[in-house]
Amino acid sequence: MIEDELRRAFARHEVHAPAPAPLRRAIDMLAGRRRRRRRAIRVAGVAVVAALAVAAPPVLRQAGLGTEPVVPGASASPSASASARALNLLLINTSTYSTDAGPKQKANLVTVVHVPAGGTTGYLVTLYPDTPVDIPGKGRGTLATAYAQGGAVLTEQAVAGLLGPGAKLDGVAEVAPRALYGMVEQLGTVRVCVPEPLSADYVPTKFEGCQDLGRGQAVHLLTIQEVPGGEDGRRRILQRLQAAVATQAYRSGALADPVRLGRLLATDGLKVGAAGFGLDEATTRAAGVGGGRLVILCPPTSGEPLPSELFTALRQDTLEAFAGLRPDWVLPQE
Amino acid sequence: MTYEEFVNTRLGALARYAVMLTGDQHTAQDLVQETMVRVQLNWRRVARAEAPERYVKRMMINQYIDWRRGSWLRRVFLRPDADESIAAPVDHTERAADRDVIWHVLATLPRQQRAALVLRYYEDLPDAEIADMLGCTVGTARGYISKALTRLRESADRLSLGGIR
Repeated sequence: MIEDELRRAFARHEVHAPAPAPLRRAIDMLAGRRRRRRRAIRVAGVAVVAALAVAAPPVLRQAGLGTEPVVPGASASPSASASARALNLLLINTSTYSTDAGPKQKANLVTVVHVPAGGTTGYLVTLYPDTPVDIPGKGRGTLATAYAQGGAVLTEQAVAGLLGPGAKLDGVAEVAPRALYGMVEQLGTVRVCVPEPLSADYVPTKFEGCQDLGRGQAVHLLTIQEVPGGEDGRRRILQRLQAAVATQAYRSGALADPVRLGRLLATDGLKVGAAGFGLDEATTRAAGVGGGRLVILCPPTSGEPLPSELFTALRQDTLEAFAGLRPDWVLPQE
Repeated sequence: MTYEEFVNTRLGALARYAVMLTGDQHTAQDLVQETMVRVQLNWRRVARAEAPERYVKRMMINQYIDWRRGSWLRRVFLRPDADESIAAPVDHTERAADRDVIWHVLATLPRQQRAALVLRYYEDLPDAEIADMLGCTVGTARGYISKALTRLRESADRLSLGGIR
């Protein structure tokens, strides 16, 4: 009977089964890799998306004039070496303005995205463009000056100088205005809360409390010039929007979906990796902000030297303690 | 049951099951590996199943049937000693050629048909459970088995193994 022969054939070939012990090791190794990669993708996405959002320009007068090429995100392969340490990623918001010599770019906002080692909270540390810094080879100036004179590379060096001798940032990304709006569009809507009602006769949307904003409304929000607190107040609104983008990116599952994440990272106007932004490193810290929890820190005032404790905390990965001691730096997000 | 308990007690059986489905050690290794990685990463969902082992075997069948080489096949090579081919034990009561023919013909069957044969003649499952494992109707499952057996008989006849019906 063919059925009997089949049974015998199956029985005979049981010995071809792979040995369990090495198979088990291979499974564990591959699962570990996949787990790290999955976390890494989420982390990198959160960090980049959050950074992008916070780096968006507070003023939209030059919206859409950015000319920088888009550099899609690097591969999200994990790097084991980065998993045991904190990461400090630099985000530079840029916008384009016209000059007699043609369009030029400027830095509207600079943010250090701090991903703690093994932590559960990511930090967005806002450095206003008028923050005084030592510009390598140029003397004393501001972050805006550093960017104007040497682009992302010089800005990175100036911020690294704030962190301390020998310190370096783990990556740099530049964001044009359209990048933030493109991400909002991809995400559908993002939930933004404003501390006080905002409106202007030149935008059709009024903002109060918490609202779900689409791309157009996000543009309206950042277009409003008359914001309590002036320039600093507008930057804080921008920070709220960025936090909303980051949160929505996480909650929607976009960060765990390589295809959607890839689209986000390829958003027009985003320039990732120009100064060595290491997604390979950033990705391994994904778990740190995997819950999408981001704390925004902003100096209460701009144009003044920042306290050395801040940079010590960034360097030593003690930002949580810093935030505890300086509640006036923490931007409430609800 | 924890993942550790599951893998400690069932990995060997799953590896044998994979050999029956795939027909060779290396492909079986890939199939078990890929399936078990998914199991490990999604253990809570697997553990919630009424019968985790059956759930995993169904995952393995789906993986095998949907297999497109290069998609799920991301092999992690085992140690060289594990890759060595293991010869089937010598069976002096049968001709080696007969044994090879049956196994060879099995390899030519459509995957659903081979899976149905494995579930029937290796796992000894009834039609209803075979249908459940394959995600098809009972009639379709029976059809797979019937067509596969017909093919095996024809091949056996063609290859002068007329004693096997």
